[in-house]
Amino acid sequence: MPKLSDKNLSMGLILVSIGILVYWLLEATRRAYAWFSGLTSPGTGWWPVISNFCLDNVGILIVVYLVICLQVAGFIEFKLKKNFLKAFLWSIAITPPVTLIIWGHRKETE
Amino acid sequence: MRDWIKIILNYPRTIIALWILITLLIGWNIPKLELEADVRAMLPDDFDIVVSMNEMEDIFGGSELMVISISSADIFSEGTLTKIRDMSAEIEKLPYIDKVVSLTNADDIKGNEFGFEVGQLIRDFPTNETERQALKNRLRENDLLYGSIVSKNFKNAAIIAMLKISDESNDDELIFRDLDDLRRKYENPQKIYLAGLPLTRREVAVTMQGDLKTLFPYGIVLMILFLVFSFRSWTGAFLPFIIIILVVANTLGLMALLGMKFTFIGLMVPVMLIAVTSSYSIHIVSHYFSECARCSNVTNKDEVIRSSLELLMTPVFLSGLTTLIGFLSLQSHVLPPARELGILVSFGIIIAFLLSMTFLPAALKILPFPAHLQKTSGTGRFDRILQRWGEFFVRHNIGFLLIVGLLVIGIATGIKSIRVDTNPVYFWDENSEIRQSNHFIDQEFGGSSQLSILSKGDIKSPEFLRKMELLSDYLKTKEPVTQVSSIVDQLKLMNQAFHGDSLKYKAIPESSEEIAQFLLLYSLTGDPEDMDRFVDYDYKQAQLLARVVETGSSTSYDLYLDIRDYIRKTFDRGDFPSVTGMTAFVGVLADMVVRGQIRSLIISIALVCLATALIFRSPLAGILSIIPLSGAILVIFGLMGYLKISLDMATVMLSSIMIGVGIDYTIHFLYRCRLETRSGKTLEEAVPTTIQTAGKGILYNGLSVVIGFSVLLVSGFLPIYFFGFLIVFSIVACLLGALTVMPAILIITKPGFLYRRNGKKNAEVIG
Repeated sequence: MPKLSDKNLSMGLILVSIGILVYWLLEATRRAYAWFSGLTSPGTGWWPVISNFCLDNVGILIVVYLVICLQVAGFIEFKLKKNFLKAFLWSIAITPPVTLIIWGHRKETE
Repeated sequence: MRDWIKIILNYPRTIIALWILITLLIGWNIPKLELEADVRAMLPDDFDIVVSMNEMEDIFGGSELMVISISSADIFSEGTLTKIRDMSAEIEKLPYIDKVVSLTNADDIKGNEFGFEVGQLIRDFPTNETERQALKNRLRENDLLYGSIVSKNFKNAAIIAMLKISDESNDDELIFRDLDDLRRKYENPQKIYLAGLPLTRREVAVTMQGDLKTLFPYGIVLMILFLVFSFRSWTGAFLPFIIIILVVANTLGLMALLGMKFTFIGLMVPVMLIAVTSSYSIHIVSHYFSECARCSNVTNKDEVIRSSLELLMTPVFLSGLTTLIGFLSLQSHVLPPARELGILVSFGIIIAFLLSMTFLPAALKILPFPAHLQKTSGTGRFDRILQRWGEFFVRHNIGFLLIVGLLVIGIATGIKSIRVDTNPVYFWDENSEIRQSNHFIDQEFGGSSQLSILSKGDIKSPEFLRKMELLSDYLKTKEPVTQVSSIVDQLKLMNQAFHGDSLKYKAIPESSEEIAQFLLLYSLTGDPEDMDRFVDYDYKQAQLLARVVETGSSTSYDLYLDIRDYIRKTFDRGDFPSVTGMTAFVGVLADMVVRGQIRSLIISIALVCLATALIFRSPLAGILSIIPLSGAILVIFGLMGYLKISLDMATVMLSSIMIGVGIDYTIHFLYRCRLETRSGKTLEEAVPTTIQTAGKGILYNGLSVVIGFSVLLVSGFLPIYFFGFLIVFSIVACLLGALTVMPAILIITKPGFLYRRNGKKNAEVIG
């Protein structure tokens, strides 16, 4: 019984949270678009602005990359039953999608 | 407690969803957070010096000025003078500029058949050496211009631009861009330097933005790597990481809700949260994993989670409580940013504790067991090293304490050399452009900082003007003061010009009528607004402005006190009611830093001593626990003296934070040692066992805090960089104090509280 009500309660709360997150994302996208548009001038494309943004926010991008690596390594640990630390280091070195492909293939051959 | 754990284990998804929703709701306002680059935000709005600065600005207009200095081989050459004229004209057109004074537009009072007239100092550029020499002589005679718009060696000229308003409504970035564009346009072969408070503020804002983009992300990167290598499992790495994110989001959300802004001190809040709050969840996850590894076939996950929580709740609570005490003692500071930081980090600590006790067990309940758990080995090499470490203190305790004591006393002698510095210019390295420009202008033009003294009385009366002159003469005798200007100097020049430029008459006019006549004459040929900076409309209030070179905050404070003392002793009450300006502000801020340091140090030590005494129900425990801490504090402040690290707005928080964080290690050690002695071991047996068991946890905990704080070493602000260095060093000192000094003290004193039973269960384990 608690399990059922736990699922129902959490579902309700998660739906409210998703609503807030969707609003945030839309707002952030709108602001980001306005900001990027303000930075681009006629004749220059989006790429210089994006590359400047990336150079300016290297720290945040590293965090995002590491979190993705963490999730991929977690997936490999739980689903493929492989060593988490190795998977994490490999995904940093050869990028998460490549790690997933290689380790997934290795699991299949096993 | 069992009921509460039962609820968590029965409703894990609801608990997690609830925390996510709470975080989103509190964090809703995070995008509205703003940066506060104004150094005035360091003191409360109702503080005397802030009130008087605002009052002066209301009466006489903004006291902020920009100094644009031009360095040239020949400052009176046609090329250089043309550049000065053109630059002055362009600066004058800028919308936020009130008035510009330079060589080419400065007024000069000259005698004529009607008395005197106000005209331009340079009507035509000098074309030969005789004209240049005449101009130099004319400048030397004018106290208001000599050393102010032209250096005393005539190699540099300055354009002084006064701003209309001086609060944050001035766009410092715009001011910088406009002036930097002008510099690029007119530089070469002349060298141009820019200085002034708006540029300093702009540099603070730029450095803050840079720090925001680096400190928190790099802190997170270091913590992820630390967690990954420590736990070698997704659960172990991800759960403490997500808790850190939730803590930071909730704290920054509260910051936005309370309308607080990011000051340069506030930048440290996210980093402190990473460093301080990660250990609670690490403790629980670590214990959960070791329980899972110990029982090879764990079938009842609920039971493992329950036992972990029951076992760790008290020590984690105590650890949080002592850290909370340290941060809350920052409330005794006068500086609002330090108080805000104390509130925010304390809130973060409470959130971290609640998350570790609710969110974390709920997540552990849902997630599967880690695939590869590290098996706990028997007695490894590290355990043996720790065991020997403990045995060393059993054998050599007195000798060790003597050596450490002498070392601490030796290093503590550096305390007398500690300097206090609150000047925003010292936020950057001495090779930075802003420091070099300020230094140049200090050397050549007597500084870009000012002291303003308010005078109240009949300004047109010669008696009152003589009082102002007396004060002005006194100010000139003070070493950091390079120039004093007021209506007195203007009137002296008028009197001299009126009497055929005779130096004999360079004095205050004899009668009120004469003064009124001169002021009328001046208003006919000169710009009446010239007087606005020195006197109010009714001639009831006047301002003495003293330019001061940067000599350090303590000297500024001494100067401020000296002038106030002189005024109190020499003049009637109410003649000169306030001494203010940026120099006074920096000095008062330095005094507040020292007072806040002493007050928060005493409060945090007393509270931590009390908390430890209550935890162990023994006053002796409280006293013993602060011995290693006091040693660490003496070492840190001694080092600050020897390494010439100033006590400033950031390092002033050091003692409270190191006491709050550092006491954890001592409490952990004492707790475990008490368990060992109560299990029947002698103290000589209990100490090595404690170092071997709890010592590992303490080292691990200390390492996570050190890693968290070490990211401050990449800050662009020197105070934050030094704070990062010192806090890392002090945490290591506290760690060593708990694991070396404390064991030696226990062996010597054999305190009774380690043996007495107080009816509590004996199953508490820490670390």
